[in-house]
Amino acid sequence: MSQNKYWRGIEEKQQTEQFVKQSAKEFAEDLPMLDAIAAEKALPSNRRNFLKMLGFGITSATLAASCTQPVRKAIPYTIKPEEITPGVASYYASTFWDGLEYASILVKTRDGRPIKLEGNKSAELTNGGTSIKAQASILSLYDTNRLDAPRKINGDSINKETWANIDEEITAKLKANPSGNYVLVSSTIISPSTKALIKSMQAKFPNFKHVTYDSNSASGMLEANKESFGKAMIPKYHFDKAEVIVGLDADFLGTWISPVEFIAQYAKGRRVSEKKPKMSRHFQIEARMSLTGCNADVRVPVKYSEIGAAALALLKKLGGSDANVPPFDGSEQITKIAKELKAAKGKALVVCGSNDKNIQLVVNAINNEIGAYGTTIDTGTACNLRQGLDSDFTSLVNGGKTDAIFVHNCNPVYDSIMGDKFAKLLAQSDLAVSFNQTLDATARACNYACPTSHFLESWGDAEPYTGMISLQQPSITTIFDTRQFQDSLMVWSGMNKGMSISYPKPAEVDSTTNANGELEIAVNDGGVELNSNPKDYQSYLTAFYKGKLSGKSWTKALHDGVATMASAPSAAATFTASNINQGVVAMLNVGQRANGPELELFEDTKIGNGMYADNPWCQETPDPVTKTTYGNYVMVSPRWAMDNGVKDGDVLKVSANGYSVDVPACVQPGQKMNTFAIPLGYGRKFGGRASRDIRTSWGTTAKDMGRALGVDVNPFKSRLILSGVSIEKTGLNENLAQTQTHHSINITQPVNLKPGEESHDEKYRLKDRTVIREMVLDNLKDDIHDLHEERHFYQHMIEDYSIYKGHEQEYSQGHHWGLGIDLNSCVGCGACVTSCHIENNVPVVGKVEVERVHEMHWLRIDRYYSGNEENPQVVFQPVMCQHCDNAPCENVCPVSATNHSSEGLNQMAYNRCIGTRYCANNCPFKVRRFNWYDYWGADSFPWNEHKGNSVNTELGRLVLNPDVTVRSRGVMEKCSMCVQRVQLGKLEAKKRGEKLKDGDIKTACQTACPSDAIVFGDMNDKKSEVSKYKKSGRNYVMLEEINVASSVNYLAKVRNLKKDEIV
Amino acid sequence: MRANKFSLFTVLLAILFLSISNLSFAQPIDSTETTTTEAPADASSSTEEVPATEEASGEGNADEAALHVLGQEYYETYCQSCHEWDKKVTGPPLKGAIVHWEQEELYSWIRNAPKMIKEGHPRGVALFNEYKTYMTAFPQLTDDQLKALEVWLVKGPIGGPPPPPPCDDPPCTEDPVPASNIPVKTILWILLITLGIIALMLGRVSKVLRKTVAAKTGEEVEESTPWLSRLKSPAFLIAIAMLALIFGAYKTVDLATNLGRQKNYAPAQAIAFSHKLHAGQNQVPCQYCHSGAAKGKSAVIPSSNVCMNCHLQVNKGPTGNSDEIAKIYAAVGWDPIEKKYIENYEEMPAEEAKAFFTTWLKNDSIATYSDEQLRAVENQVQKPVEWTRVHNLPDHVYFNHAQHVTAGGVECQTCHGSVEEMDVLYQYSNLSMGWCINCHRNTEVDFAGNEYYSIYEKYHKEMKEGKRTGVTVEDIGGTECQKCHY
Repeated sequence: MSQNKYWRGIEEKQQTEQFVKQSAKEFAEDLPMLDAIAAEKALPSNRRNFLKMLGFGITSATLAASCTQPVRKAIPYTIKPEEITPGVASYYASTFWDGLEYASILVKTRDGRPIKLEGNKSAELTNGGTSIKAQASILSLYDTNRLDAPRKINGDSINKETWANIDEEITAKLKANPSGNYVLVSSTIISPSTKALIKSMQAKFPNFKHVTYDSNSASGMLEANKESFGKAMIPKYHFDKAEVIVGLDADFLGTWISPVEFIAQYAKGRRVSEKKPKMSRHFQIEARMSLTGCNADVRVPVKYSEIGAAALALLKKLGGSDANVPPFDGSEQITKIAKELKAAKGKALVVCGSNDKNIQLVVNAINNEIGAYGTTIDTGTACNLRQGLDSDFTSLVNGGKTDAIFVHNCNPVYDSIMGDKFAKLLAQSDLAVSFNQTLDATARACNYACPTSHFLESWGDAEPYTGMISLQQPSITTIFDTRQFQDSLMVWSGMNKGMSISYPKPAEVDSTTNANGELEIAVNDGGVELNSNPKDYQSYLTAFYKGKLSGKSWTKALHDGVATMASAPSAAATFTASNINQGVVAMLNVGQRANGPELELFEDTKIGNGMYADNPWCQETPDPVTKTTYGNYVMVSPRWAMDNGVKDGDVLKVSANGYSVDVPACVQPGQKMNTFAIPLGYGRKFGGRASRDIRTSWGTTAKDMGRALGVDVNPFKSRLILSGVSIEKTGLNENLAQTQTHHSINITQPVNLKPGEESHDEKYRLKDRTVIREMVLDNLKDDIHDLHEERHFYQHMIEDYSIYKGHEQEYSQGHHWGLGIDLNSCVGCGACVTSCHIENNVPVVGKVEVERVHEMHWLRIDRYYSGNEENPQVVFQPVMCQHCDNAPCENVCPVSATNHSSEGLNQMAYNRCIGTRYCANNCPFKVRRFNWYDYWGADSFPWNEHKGNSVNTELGRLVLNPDVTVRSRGVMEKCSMCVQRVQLGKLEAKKRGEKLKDGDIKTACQTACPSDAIVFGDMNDKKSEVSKYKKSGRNYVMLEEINVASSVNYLAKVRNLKKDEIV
Repeated sequence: MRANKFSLFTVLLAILFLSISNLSFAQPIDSTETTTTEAPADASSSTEEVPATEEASGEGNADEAALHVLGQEYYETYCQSCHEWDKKVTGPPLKGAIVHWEQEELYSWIRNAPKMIKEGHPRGVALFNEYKTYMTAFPQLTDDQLKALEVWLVKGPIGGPPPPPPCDDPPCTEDPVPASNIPVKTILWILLITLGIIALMLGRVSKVLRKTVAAKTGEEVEESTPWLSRLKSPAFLIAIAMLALIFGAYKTVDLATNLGRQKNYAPAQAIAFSHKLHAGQNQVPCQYCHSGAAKGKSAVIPSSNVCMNCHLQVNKGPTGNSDEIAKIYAAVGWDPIEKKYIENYEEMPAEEAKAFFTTWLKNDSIATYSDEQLRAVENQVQKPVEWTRVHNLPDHVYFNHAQHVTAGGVECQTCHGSVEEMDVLYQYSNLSMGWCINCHRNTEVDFAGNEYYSIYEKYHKEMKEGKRTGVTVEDIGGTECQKCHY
């Protein structure tokens, strides 16, 4: 495949003046050197001044140095828990479930405090994968914005209360009216024991109702499936089993249902090797450029209003409908997709993210036509991750006064389209209790805020799919005076003292047969006693699972984090065709009418519904698609932007449904013309410091925290607005903290030329630099051959011109560490970026600093576009320090602060670094980061600290990894290939007296990756995974032509394209 | 003129440096919290020099020398837990004790002291009144053994301080003052200065003599430049200033690199814990308490429950005092009377807990405690023990004990010194980077014994071929930055 011309953003494609100016430089801004020189010239510089400076300098140094040495205390435990050894990490299996996303995790704790979350490899479902949110959720534990104790709220007066008082008051109210009209509003609860607890509540209070409210609901699908299968459920999808995948407005790699699980499956189905040149083919039909769309082989941009038509057209082509489908933009592609789906019958899958029941019915019919049920869709295993029916919430809100409302893990006042109505309902009801962890909009509308504990402080369980159990255990005692909401329910209903729970019957035979057909009796539960009178939720939980887990004791299940239910899974539901034509035609009428701008309000992959707006790590991680940090924006299509003279950051007034916001534009290649999309979750009135604009916020009290980052778009009162949308320019411009062209390796255009000037001299043209390499599945053999030729040429060149000859000898024994990254598996989700951030104490810098290109990420994901702006192809490339064996950064360091280890690591000695930044200037990969401020507060002078972020608090610093130095101001830093993990892995091998095994050491990016795209290992070990990567035909290293001998090996991306589709 | 200005500047600079280096890098450690003892090193070296005296007073009697050795052995077996040579511990010091006893009397005293006290032996009663405890009876000791002990009592410990000079007058209390404690350095200085003065005087004398001779013979005397003006000459000033500058700069750099290093740092601890007693005398292995050293980064200060493993039984120190051990009891809630943990200790009112332990101490039949001691125990009630860290590494240094102890097989004493001889623990090594690196350069890795190192094929080959005798830590990258800094 001829190498495409790549560009990272519209500015690069159009070569705007600012971009050209900036891209030639390593650092975005000039140091005010000329000013400094001028100022110096103005000074009368003489010996007296010299002596003065000398005297002052030495005296101040003397004063600072002659301070007494601090006396450091070491306080051991009085009674040490046996499992804790200070300085040695312990891992606990647990579950991440925030109401929208599920992942089985391991919690790494050091000396009793959780410091990192890793994927749990023994969990089949998520296969050790995580996401940005799952990774960052650990910081929410140390969030000073969390409620430290319950509150009693009366309008604006919010008073701290004791649990005892609150318990007394609420219990009294509930006791007074046991048949009252009580409602628990929560996000989807996937905990079977909590559900059982709620059932017990219903036994106690006959009118106790549970309403599930999902901010990002799958209501349409649930309703459609009820009609198609007689059961409102979501089936289990198998993307790995599908050869043809069609995503219909479903961002299944981003936010749809269970992205971590789907990414793992998707990557599995797209793994290619020379021996197995086969991978799934992915079509994506959508309007907004989503993460899933970025990964599609063929993407068909279709307007929001025409998604239904596209679905119907697909069904018609497959022969499942004879309805009249109106013409729409993109219909010619549908024929092709239908043909391929038909050809892959039984191995194809169509998923749809629409919340329109009618479209979902059409999609069900399509899946039936292509034989997906029973093959790529398992209707026998129900997915519990979305249970909320929008209609339930609507009828609650419209149903009039209730006696008491309890709100758990959701913030409908802010994030519902009926927020104001819900607030009114809360105000009307006699008792309104919020279990939310912060004083958010909903908590403020209640009478009591009874904060539940963070999930790392809580007991719990989860059943993401029927029969698959995932357990959750506390890894730290509660930091604040909080209480699990289940415990609160138990106390208020009196269940904690004398509760007759009818436990589900234990499985009759607590045994399984293993692979050899031998009977294995379950190990007796180690010491856990059946407590028929549980006094708290913990004992309730252990009792609940007594005898229910198949083949595992409670202790073992808790250790593993996952288990399966002993009861047999239910039989697969069968599809019943329903008359879909009528409903769909009615819907299509809407589509035909809409010709104006269409607006989508969506949840992005890092802030979600606003739950993570207060998490600095989520804010700072660039959005995988738009590469924007801090704050929201409106995505506009490049053609629309050109027609209207709009560029990135131009503030647009978006009005619809009688509400309008001023929001900066983000020109998004691939966005369908005349469609617009704004991420939700921003502009929260009652957020903490991380969700505030730091230019206006320096204080700590709510008053002087400044305005919120981004704009609140929930008051648009709909998630999809197909008519009556107007977009106007305001003439203002706001800086988007967008990292897409930061640290760019110039690969498309000549440099050092005046605008308009063209160079024909090949040596100035950098387009042929080895940065991205792509292949086409159909042409794999030839492409591999071409790449081989190209590499051979470079290597030949290296031999002829190298000034570093013979260096490779040095790494011929011992270890030679290397990374392998499969660009074909990488979907660009960004979990690795956040994971690296956490593992290595990388500072959070805040919006203003990101705008100045000061972000500190050691690992960035470069996202390149190629082809047509309106529908580009996308490739993601994680870039970290390449640990070049002939590193150009090393020989320019005047103090040898960066140098090479015998194991092939490019080392950084922070205490030696004097901050000349020569290394960064000389790094061809632009992976070195300079500490412009004391972001973590490592320096001794408090006034020297960077105040712009909320991690820099006593509590926030508890999350720091004690094995990694906290860098101070003025030093350079970069990826160390997780040297702390390397050293630990080596030590453990030495202690065992064994050879180090491949896979013993895993880097933080590797453990976070849901698609297993990253491997780390010893390149001297010929059997290691990374050596296999090196031997692959798709292997290449970045910028091989400059002969830096980097240790990061990439595998070229493969696109499953037909010959005529190659751009 | 120019030179003068320059020299003045240099002199100023030199003075600046000198004053800084001497004033500022003295680096006091918070004196209210800690005491710096430089003594231990000196004390041990002075005791080591002694054995030579033994032969001189031994009169060459081989029998007696053999008895002396045996006596030392018996002392260590039977007496050491309560007696020291020159210190009051549970029992009186043994130095000079022999003079109070007739042989017969002494033998029966050792064999059954309580009996003699009950019978009203004046010396025995006096000792009992003073020490408030009966001496343990040793009826099993034979005459030969007692004879050896007697010889030992006369001669004193082998390798210990010299035995007391024979003293006829019974109330022999004063130790003879050691002849000279003045260090050699001082003597040398005094010598140097005296010689200098003599040289000056001699010079002066010879000059005067020459002058007189010249005057007498009528020769003309050359007028020499006066001393003062010579001192004022720019060349001299510059020379002096340069010397001072070099010295000052050297001192500044030297002291600056020592900033933050705390060699010999010996802070007072919350509990007067003696490693000498535990690790030395009682031979508790280091890693019994510091169990983390084999597992990971931190060697671990033992939690109080580890102390309790032994102190469930042992509630008296070697001096008979219980207050230090009571601090552990106060922390964990151990009832030494009932010999069980106090139930719900954490919920017990602090005042009640305090009173409990002070009452126990006040009822001690042997020792009495000052208010200060009682308060110290009270402060420990229901609280973990706050030890003061002795070995502090900077934050940017990663040190892992397991790497050295388990993988490297390094003895604790290599870095920490003879901890088993330290009453108050002090920092033995300076823990500087140069010190680490030197050890990494010189220490050989156990290449053959650990399968892990099989990946270093080249070295293995070289060793086989005899080209290389061993592989040091440095050879496998042990001096690279990111072995310790990341």
